[in-house]
Parts: sequence; structure tokens; C-alpha cells
Amino acid sequence: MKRYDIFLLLILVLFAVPVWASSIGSIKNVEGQAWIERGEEKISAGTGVRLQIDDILKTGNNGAMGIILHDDTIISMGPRSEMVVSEFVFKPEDGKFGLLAKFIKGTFSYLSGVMSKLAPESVKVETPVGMVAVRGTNFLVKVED
Amino acid sequence: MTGCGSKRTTFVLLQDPGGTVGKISVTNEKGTQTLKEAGQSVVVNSYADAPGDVKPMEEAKIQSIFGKALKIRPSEPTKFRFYFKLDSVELESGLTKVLQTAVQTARDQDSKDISINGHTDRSGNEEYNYKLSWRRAMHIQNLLEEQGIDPTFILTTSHGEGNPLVPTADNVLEPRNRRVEVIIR
Repeated sequence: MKRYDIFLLLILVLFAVPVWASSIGSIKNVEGQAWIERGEEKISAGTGVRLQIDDILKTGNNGAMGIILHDDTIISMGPRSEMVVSEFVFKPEDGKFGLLAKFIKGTFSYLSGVMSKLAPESVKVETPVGMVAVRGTNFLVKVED
Repeated sequence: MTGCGSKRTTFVLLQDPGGTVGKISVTNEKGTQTLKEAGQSVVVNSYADAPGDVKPMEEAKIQSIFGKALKIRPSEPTKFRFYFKLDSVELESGLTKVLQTAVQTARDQDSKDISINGHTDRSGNEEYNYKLSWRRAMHIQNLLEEQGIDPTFILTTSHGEGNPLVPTADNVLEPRNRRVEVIIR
């Protein structure tokens, strides 16, 4: 193997992280039109699609989608809805936690996961009219256009 | 940006699946409102308006507004625990049935997101334990793969001694912490 090839191989090994390395959760249920906007990319929503920080989740007129984050927080959205998870840190082994979900428009259900039990103050839901502090629970939000 | 609506937002608190009721507080620069009983709701007209009064919302109205979001909501993940012998990747006896149930659950739920998290107790040093819990987790991953679970659906992590089920002082033997947790979503 030429030295150049070895160098390339080394680069590949160093940067070849698994696709789910930065995953914060996954899509579980989908109905109708639902998709993710990741930078310039538009990814069709389907069961098992791994989610990343700052993915914009959207549903169309007849769409709906349900996701489960790695700390088992469960969020679902009805039609004409839009949301982003812009912070997600779940490292119980290091005592590090952080979750910020932004509900931009539409209808949502939110069911707390492990993070709300271990570090409730680190969990926040942002809406256009204010912040929600979550104390281990189950709630609904509707943001009008 | 499109739309120039007020972004009027409604919040409704529900009972937790376990039967208890938590609470939420909605806060903006004009004030805070707290919901702490199931079925309570609050409307906030805009960021420039204080949250409104707490009012009950009847079930029929909840369904008419949130029915689609509630219907698509995923079930809570199913969790399984596998215990190991001291300083070993050998499973405690009697866990074959748990493995079979886990595999069946993954199939029944058509799961494409399975976490395998390895743990140790606090006997031995931290670095050694991190490696041990990784080997334990990989052992379970191999068993699941042997049963036909697609490895691309699996995310395996090692927690070492840092995330005990039962907190103990350092260097304490605690069988309940020598475990691998499998979460099927």
C-alpha cells in the first residue's frame, strides 16, 4: 500500500464514526406527510430514522409523527406542526443533562423521560409565548399560526 | 418568515401513564402560570401578555384539538435487565427466558431503535470497569444478533461504574449494578 493510501485510510478510520454517533433519538410512528429538514437536506420521515440536534421536524396538512429521544422522552405532533430539539445532552454516567425542545407551531404531546426524573431543572420546552418548566409529566401544547 | 398571527398558545396538563400528575409552569416576561391538576389548561395570547387563568378543559375538547397528536404518540419503551456474575461477562442463571422475551418484544413492536447499556458495580477501578461493562453490553448485542435482530437498529454504550442502579460507596460489591439494560423503543 502506498504511503498516500495509508494516510487516506488513517483519515477514514479517524472520521468514520457510525451514522448514529450523533443521534439523539429516532422516529417511531408516522402518518401522512412528515419530514425532517437537516440543513439543505429534506429527509422523508419513517420508522427508525435517527434524529440529530437541530433537525427541523415538520408535518403537512394530514401528517402526524411521534418520536422517542434517547432518555425516553416521547414527543408527538399533529398536522401542520413544526418543532426542533436544539439541545440534547444525556450522560447519566457523567451527571450531564440538558434538553431544549422548541415547539414552533401546531399541536404536540410531550411525555417526560428519564432526564426529567434525574435532573428536572435541565429540561425546557420553548414556545413562541414563553418557556415551559417541566416537572416529570405529560402535557399538550397547541401553538396557533 | 410568513404569518403575522399572535402565536396564541394553549397548554394542557394530563395525568402521567403511572397514574400520578406532575406539573408544568409557563413563564414569560409578564408572568408565570402553573398547572398541577390533570385536565387543567392555560392560554397565553402572546409573549407580551401574561399567561391567562387556569381553566379545566373537558376531554371532548382535548380530543378535538389534540386527537391526532395523541393517536400517533409512541408507546413507552420496554426495558429488560440482564445481570452478570462478578468480574465476568457470564450471565446469572435463569436469564434465557428474559432474552427470548426481549427478542419477541423487539419483533412485535417492529423496533428499529434498541439501546444496550452496560454497567458494573464499583468493585475494581473505573477504567477496568468501563471495559468490563462494554464487554457485557457486547455480549448481549451478540446474543440479540444471533436471534436475528438487525445490528443497524442497535446502539450499544458502556457506562462503567458511573450509573449504578443502587448507589454504593467505591469498591463495594453490588450484584444489582452488574447489569446490562436493553431498551426497546
